[in-house]
Amino acid sequence: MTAAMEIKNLSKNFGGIVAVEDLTFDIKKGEIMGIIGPNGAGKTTVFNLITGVYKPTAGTVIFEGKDITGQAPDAIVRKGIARTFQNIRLFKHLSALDNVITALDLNYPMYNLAEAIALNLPFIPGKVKRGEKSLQEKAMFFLEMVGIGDKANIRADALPYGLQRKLEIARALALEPTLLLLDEPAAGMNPEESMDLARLIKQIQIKLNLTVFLIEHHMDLVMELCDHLFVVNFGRELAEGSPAEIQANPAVLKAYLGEGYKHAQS
Amino acid sequence: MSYYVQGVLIMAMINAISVVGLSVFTGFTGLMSLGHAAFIAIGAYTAAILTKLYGFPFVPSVVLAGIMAGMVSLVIGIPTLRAKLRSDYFTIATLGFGEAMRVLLENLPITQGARGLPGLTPYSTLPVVFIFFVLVTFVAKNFVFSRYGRMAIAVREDFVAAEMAGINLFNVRLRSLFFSAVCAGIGGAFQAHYITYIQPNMFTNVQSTLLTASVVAGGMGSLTGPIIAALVFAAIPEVLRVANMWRLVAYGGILVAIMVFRPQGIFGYKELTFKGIYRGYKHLAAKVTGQGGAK
Amino acid sequence: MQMLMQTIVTGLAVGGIYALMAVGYSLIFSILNFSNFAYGGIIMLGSYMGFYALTLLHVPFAAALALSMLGAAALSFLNERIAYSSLRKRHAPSLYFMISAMGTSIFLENMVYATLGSSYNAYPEIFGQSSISLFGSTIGKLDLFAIIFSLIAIYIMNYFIQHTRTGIAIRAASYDSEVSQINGVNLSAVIGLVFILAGLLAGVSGVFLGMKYMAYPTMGWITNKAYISAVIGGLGSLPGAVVGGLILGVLESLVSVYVSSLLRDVFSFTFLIVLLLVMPSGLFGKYLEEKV
Ligand SMILES: Nc1ncnc2c1ncn2[C@@H]1O[C@H](COP(=O)(O)OP(=O)(O)OP(=O)(O)O)[C@@H](O)[C@H]1O
Ligand SMILES: [Mg+2]
Repeated sequence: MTAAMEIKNLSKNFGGIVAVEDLTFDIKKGEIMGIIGPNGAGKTTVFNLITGVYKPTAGTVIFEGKDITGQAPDAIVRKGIARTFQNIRLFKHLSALDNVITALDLNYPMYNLAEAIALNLPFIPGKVKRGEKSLQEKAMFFLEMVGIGDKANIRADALPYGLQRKLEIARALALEPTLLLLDEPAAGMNPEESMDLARLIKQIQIKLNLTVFLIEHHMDLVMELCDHLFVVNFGRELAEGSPAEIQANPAVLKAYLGEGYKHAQS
Repeated sequence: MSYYVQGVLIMAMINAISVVGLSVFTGFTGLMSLGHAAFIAIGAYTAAILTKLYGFPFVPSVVLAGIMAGMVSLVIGIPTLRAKLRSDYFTIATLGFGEAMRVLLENLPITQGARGLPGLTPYSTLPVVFIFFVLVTFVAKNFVFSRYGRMAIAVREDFVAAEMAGINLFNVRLRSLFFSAVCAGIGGAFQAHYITYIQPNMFTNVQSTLLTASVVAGGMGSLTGPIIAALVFAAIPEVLRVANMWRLVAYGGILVAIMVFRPQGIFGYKELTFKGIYRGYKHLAAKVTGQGGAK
Repeated sequence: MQMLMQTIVTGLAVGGIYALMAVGYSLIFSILNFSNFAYGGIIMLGSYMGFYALTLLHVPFAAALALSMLGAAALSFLNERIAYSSLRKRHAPSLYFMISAMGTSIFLENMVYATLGSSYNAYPEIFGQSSISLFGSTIGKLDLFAIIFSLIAIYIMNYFIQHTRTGIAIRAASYDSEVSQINGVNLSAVIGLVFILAGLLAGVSGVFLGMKYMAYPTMGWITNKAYISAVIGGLGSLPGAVVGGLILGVLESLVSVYVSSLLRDVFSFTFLIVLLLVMPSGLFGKYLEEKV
């Protein structure tokens, strides 16, 4: 397997705070890789650096062999990377369907500005109305894929929390990425719901032939789903390996359980 | 129609032309400007100079006034929007732009300084203004209910998520700024040829406030709401004959009250459509849940 | 050389008042993270209060200054409670704050206009027209007093924020208002206090502006210079606001004398825009990326 993404010596400082320090790792094509670590370890910051939301202080991000470090987010999205957000960021006043259509525009621009302004006459069918109609059909495909096809016309902020997370995934999928980043997709879900989500993610990954990189605190989900794990603590690499190796790694256990670890051992 | 009513109607539609533009800019794209009066001024001066000093016909002058305001908006918009300034930094920059423009108008030879340009021909008749008002509204409606409008709304709702949906913030914001400046320029051209004189001090925060108040009261994310608000705001003081400054006191109060009590305005995120009126309450209720009405 | 010195001294005198305004404005920015465009209106009312205290109540200057400070502080506090606090509690987008601030500003300005008229109100002579010479240049006594008093006021403010427990609470809140609330800092009280402090400074600057340029309804536009100063220094940074104010005062003075006084304001605003583009975090600012 070749690498979908190579991260080399990635660092990020915010004023005095070192959020990410000298991280180096690969994400292999077609795998589900997980990044775990305690709160504030720098996981989301890694996502933000990959997707161009923040500019790295040092280091490079290589995607499918090309250096994408420091590019604008929309340019990076065009290369085939999509993500969801830890603190849900939907277009609240748009319907679930329109949230997905917004993302579809990237690969399916159905008409140009002049056509939009001049050709959309009342009561007369035309390119614009046809384009919108076909976008709606495409969008339904992605809504149904995450299982919220029946919620298409509901305003995003009126959806229950768990479905908002799924809508974010649908919106990201509509960008037709090859690498999908999921920031705590199961946050706020109970163990049963999060295992359902794990199955859904696996299913989508196979169906769309995706590489997935995810942040998650639900360890059962991580262990079930991920092929490979990367552990950070205080912005630095703590460990890397298969879920089984990570579970047996004393440094990881210590970082997660803190002082309690020694008690647990004795 | 009495001469008086006609006058109120003309002024109301002139305001509505600028308000439509500002609605796209603030209501749909979520940017705030303290300098839009400057675009109105540019339109007013361009058209006035063309008709008065160069004997240009009126309608082409109006079009050129809009284009001129649009061009100037690119001059200010391209560097500030490209720099992705925080939203309030951008607003401060528009404030600086507006002030600088006013000082320029007071000092350029061709604008004749503080004296301004008096004695313009009253070309802004009801039919011409009405036709432009309908045209501008048609363009705005088509813009807003297209993928371009959807991108603008996405940027307003959450610009980080919009970028991560592949939207280029700069293009979206600049498009809205340009459109709003063209509208303001056209509005300014009509205003100059309705009042028949212009002076730099006509284009201050009074104007900007009137426009913003219409957009905010009518409802951000709606086109019909702000248009209705613009028409009402133009008519009420005429009917009540209140002094201009009390009117502004009221507008200031309205802005605060709406933000505190009903930030979505009267028509927030909704449109009043003919279809909607026909189908009555049921249709409107369905639109509340998110499906844009005029699609 | 003589002329250059004089120009700089004159610039510093104006810059002192800019600095005062910029500190108040920056203080609010640092805690609420938005530009309070209503601040100019508070300064304007402070100026009127000083004027009426001197001409109607005939109180001594120090009392007039104190009255104006207290009045402006009360107004500033009300400004926050009426126009912003409910937005804050709803986590409204910053666009809403700006609209509310703009509404407040229009409301105050036109309220004064409608009730007190548009006339320019000259303060009675306090310091006379006399001036003293300093390093070979002359400076009006008013200017000298204004700059010294401004710097003292700013110093006290800075001391308060750096070294008292309340000040530390303010800094904690401005660092991260959500975290510090969990730590038991009463955020609402701290924000109210910040508006009161900014109001006190608004009162002082209002009185000095009034003495220098008279009190009138639209004098709030001068406060645009406060935004520029604050941006030069870096929004949210108090030392930055002081340095920014002084720099702007001197630059304007140099442009007036050596280029054209007509172009002074065009210069300032162009400078502002250029600065925002090349150095959005100013001299001392913390321009942090938004947390995502
Ligand atoms: N824009 C920013 N400005 C300043 N500090 C930041 C910013 N973004 C992140 N940080 C800091 O960087 C550190 C890492 O944060 P990050 O959000 O990446 O952690 P995380 O691993 O995702 O934690 P969690 O599990 O809680 O989501 C934290 O100390 C955080 O406060
Ligand atoms: Mg995180």
